[in-house]
Amino acid sequence: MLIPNSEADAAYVIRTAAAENKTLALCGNNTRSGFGNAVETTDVVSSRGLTGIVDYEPAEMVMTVKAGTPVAEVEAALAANRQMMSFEPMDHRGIMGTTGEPTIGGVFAANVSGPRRFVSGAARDSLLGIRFVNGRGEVIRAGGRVMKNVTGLDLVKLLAGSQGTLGFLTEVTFRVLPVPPVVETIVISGLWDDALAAKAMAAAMAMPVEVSGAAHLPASVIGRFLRGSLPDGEATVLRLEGLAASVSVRAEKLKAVMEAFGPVSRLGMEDSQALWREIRDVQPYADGTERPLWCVSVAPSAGHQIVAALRLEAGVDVFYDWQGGLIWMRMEADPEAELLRRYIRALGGGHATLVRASDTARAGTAAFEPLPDAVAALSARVKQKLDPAGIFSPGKMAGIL
Amino acid sequence: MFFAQLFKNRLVVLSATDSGLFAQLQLSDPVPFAGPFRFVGDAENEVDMRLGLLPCLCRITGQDRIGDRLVLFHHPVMRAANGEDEAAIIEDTVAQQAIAGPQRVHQDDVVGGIANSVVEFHIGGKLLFETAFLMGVAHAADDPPNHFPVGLGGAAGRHLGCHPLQLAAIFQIVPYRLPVPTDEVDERRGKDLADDIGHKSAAAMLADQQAAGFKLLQRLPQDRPGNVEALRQFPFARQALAVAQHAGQDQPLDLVYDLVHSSAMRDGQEKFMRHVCLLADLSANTLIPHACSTGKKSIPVSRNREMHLTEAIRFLPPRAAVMARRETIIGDLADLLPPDCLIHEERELVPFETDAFISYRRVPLAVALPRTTAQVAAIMKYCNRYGIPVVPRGAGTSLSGGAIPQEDALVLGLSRMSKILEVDYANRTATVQAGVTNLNISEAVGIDGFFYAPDPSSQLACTIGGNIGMNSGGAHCLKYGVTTNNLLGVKMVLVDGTVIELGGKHLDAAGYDLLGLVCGSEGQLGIVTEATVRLIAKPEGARPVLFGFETSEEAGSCVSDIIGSGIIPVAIEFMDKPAIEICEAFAGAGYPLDVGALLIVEVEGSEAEMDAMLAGIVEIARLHQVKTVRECQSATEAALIWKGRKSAFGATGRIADYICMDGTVPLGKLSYVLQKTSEITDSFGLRVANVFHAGDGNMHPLILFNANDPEDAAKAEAAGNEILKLCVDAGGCLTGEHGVGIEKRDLMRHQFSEADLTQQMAVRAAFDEGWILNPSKVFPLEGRP
Ligand SMILES: Cc1cc2nc3c(=O)[nH]c(=O)nc-3n(C[C@H](O)[C@H](O)[C@H](O)COP(=O)(O)OP(=O)(O)OC[C@H]3O[C@@H](n4cnc5c(N)ncnc54)[C@H](O)[C@@H]3O)c2cc1C
Repeated sequence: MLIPNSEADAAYVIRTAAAENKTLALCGNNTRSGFGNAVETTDVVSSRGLTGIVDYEPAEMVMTVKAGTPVAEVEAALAANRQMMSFEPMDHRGIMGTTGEPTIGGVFAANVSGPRRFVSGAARDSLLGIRFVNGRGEVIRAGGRVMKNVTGLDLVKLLAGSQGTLGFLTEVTFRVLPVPPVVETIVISGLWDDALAAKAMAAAMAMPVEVSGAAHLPASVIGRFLRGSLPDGEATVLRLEGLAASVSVRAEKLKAVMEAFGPVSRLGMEDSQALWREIRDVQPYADGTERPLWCVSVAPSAGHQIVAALRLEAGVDVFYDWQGGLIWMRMEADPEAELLRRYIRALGGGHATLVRASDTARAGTAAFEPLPDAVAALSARVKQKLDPAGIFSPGKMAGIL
Repeated sequence: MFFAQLFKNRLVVLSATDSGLFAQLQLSDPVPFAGPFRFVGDAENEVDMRLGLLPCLCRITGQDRIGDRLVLFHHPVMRAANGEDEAAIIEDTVAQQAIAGPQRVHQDDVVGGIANSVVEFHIGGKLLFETAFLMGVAHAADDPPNHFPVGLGGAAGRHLGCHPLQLAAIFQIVPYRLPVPTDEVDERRGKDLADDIGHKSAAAMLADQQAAGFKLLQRLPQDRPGNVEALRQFPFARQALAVAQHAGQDQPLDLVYDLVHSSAMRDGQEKFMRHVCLLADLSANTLIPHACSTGKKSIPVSRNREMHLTEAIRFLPPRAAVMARRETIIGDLADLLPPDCLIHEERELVPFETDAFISYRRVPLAVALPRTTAQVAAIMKYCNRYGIPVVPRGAGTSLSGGAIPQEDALVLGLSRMSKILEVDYANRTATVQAGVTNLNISEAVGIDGFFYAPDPSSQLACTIGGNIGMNSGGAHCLKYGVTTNNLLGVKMVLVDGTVIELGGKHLDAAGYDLLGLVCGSEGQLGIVTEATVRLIAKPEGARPVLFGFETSEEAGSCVSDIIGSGIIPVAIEFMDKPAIEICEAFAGAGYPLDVGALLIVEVEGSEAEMDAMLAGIVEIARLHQVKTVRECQSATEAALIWKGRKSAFGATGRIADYICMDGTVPLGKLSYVLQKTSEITDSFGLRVANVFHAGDGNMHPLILFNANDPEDAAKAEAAGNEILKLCVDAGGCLTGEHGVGIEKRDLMRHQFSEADLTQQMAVRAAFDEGWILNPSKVFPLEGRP
């Protein structure tokens, strides 16, 4: 493994590899090593030698960090100032069974978000600027330190979520937000019909109460949250955050409407924080198995329909986040990629990403949703412009990507 | 006689009873104003034009609110300006022949009309009133680059039944030709006219001005205490009113005729016109561009940009191969489109020659206004094959020249693709065609309690396609983000005619985030034909609080602390001392004059929530030695707080010409950049006023100068460039929301290294190898691959 200690080093390493026709896998600390199609590369370059907070002015609510900095370090620095990454990056170690410290570069390279994503945006929405080394070994800067910026093409978005196939991130600048002083969760119990839960969540989102988390936890997973302390049966959970006075007013309003769907209870601050962290980290499927785990993103109203259709043909266990639009789906046996993707297409589109599976299952399954031909061709051209020789994990995302 | 009148008086008042024109046209009932057009400001200052009446010259066709019905309003004017045969023009008008074009009839047309000395009103008076209010006293209107003019309440207009001319008088809606020294013809005309009518107006002046003035004032709704006060400040209005009273209503046209040219009113006119020019900066370009471009150096609506006429910014030279084949190309394109979708006659191309960056103009080769994605695809396929540049266009409100064509280009206007295809509340999305206006989306879903968050001040006119092109922001973006954060998917046509879909109702991309790349790409990566956007539940209410601080530094650190406290206001507006003085002198909103800086902070939510948030904010402000705190108990008080801010740009326009910058800086650098900005302008001997959205660091320094003095103008531009560089050096960027276009293209190297730019251009090439799409924009012309 190559561990450059500076951006210049990284550029050199990559330039050399390109010249020698070597391929490179880019990583931080490999806690998300299971992401994407398995590809063999000549070498691995890790950002772990590039660490440290470069610039953090809490009052500016912007942080610049070297890519290999552990997420924990970033979070600690933010917490000391009662700030946070609003997109709540999830920790994949639990479900992937990996160890080590996730890096901030990995979070952005994989565009990793959490429950707040559906209202506050993804990692890519918080990312303001980057420095990276392209496949030619050139250092490129894109974006900046400001929230509003339309100067030139937005390469920042392109690199976010490119899974280390377009460039080696060396530094990231992102927007942070204050930690809301109060968090509360409204729990609606007993919505055994996922469709009804989806309705309840949609109704909550249509209210001016600023719900910042909307998840549905079916009975099969309920015991895995809050050390089994939630009552048996289903729980549809809605998170409210903000100033104490504001949260309590909104909670009352939300409760009044949600009571039409089922019995409503409330979780206080500590339980709420724990619960949403567990939802974020997909606790029910941090089960130490290799059973295929999908992360499916669809329109919120389509989520439960896809699950209902699949259930007739395969053994699946699921829970929903993002108002029902994010399905964490564990297959009991095969990945059933064909079937799943067929239903996604039939029910309005979206994508399924295989985040975990045995090596054999991974080998036979495209980890990322196959793209329509024209988009695939366009993506390939884009890749070619950033990584002309195709040295960064070719095939990790699909085809040559 | 209509057009004779028009150009002699430079004022047209049309009505079914007072003007011979309508009788001649034999139009019976006036056509109801069909569209949900509104002047939108804060909640108080909204004029709902739905109940107004359109001038009867406009043709309205069913759903299609953009294409067909537009130009009949100003097109005749344009043609008349060209010296075309009057009878023929009227005949066309009577036949209601559709004259296609990119604009629609809305407030801008009216504003633009005024700017070009043409006012068209219906006798109903509602439209007039609103326009009058918009333009005049209480117009609370502001800057062309950033804000639409804002009128006062629609209710007022509806309740008011006075004679339009009285209103015109009272609100100073008078025609005026900007005295551009080089325009000899006009000066001569002015003299003739003055001789002609001088005596009448002199007599009128003797009438009892005061009494007459108040009579009308009393008819204004009383719930707006500011109105009367504001009106009183205008002696000109009172004089005008007196004239109206004296002359009676028998000969309304003569009356106005008088008004216009009475020397006693010169001063008022001058001020008024300055103001109009600024207000109209946006629209005049699209409205009667001819009036501007034919008059040699007379550019009444763009004084503050006059200096650009040096053509400092280059376009790519036209491709000879394309120019040579012009006729063939037009023929071929015509075959690809329905009959009324291609514009190629010179005079009809003119409205497309520029956008809101009006100092640059290029008449395009042709304009296509397709109705379907398939038509767009066919056009792209053809143009790509023959190397014909294509410039996508929405409403043409770009402030950076993003939609300005070039001689060898086909303008691909999306204005006819203006359907809202689907609203899906369960998933909180709206899927719309690219030509739908920003405001249309919020209007369509507002009744159900939703809105589309990014709200550029131009939202009444600008299209979602253009918003995507420029990644537009708005007043709400501190809380809700800009376009890219609210865009879920697009359907788009690639340069070779391939149609692709990116995103949809789901979140995040399956592969590379091409959607993120396309947003803000200024029409260089493809033609967006449909978009899926995120809807948000509307908050229950909003309320502002005003703070005055000793220094800008205190205000700046208060901003950081408010944001840092966990409260996310919807808006934090900042004004420095010069801006406060200008606004207060103009609007009389009761701003404290003994402070160095002022903040207006607005929060959203239910009453209880707002109370809680405002209490927290006030507490923070107190930690910063706040000198003045003004909270509001009523909507009227809230309106008063906003009034000065909203009139900032208009008020500035009354005292000087200005250019507005769009650089963005990190929040922590606000005070530093403010300080440096004034040092820069000082060193040029210029003044600067700062009014901007402090919450997101998007600065809009207004550099004041005199556009009639070329040296001053050159200095202002140089100072502007210095300020933009300052923003970049402070860790910010050249443009926060207006885009690079041609305006800032040649400054790009200050922000990006050669490698950065080369990489961006390489990615661009993945979409458009041959530089077909909007090729003169964004990237410096030198050093392209
Ligand atoms: C008075 C006034 C106030 C303004 N206030 C704001 C503000 O508050 N915030 C803000 O951000 N901006 C503001 N603007 C700037 C302008 O309104 C925005 O940039 C707007 O998004 C442009 O939209 P449009 O439909 O007019 O696009 P156009 O001006 O027609 O085009 C803008 C760019 O997008 C491209 N484009 C247009 N349609 C498409 C399409 N369908 N597919 C691909 N490319 C396309 C064009 O080629 C061009 O480069 C203001 C402008 C004015 C005149």
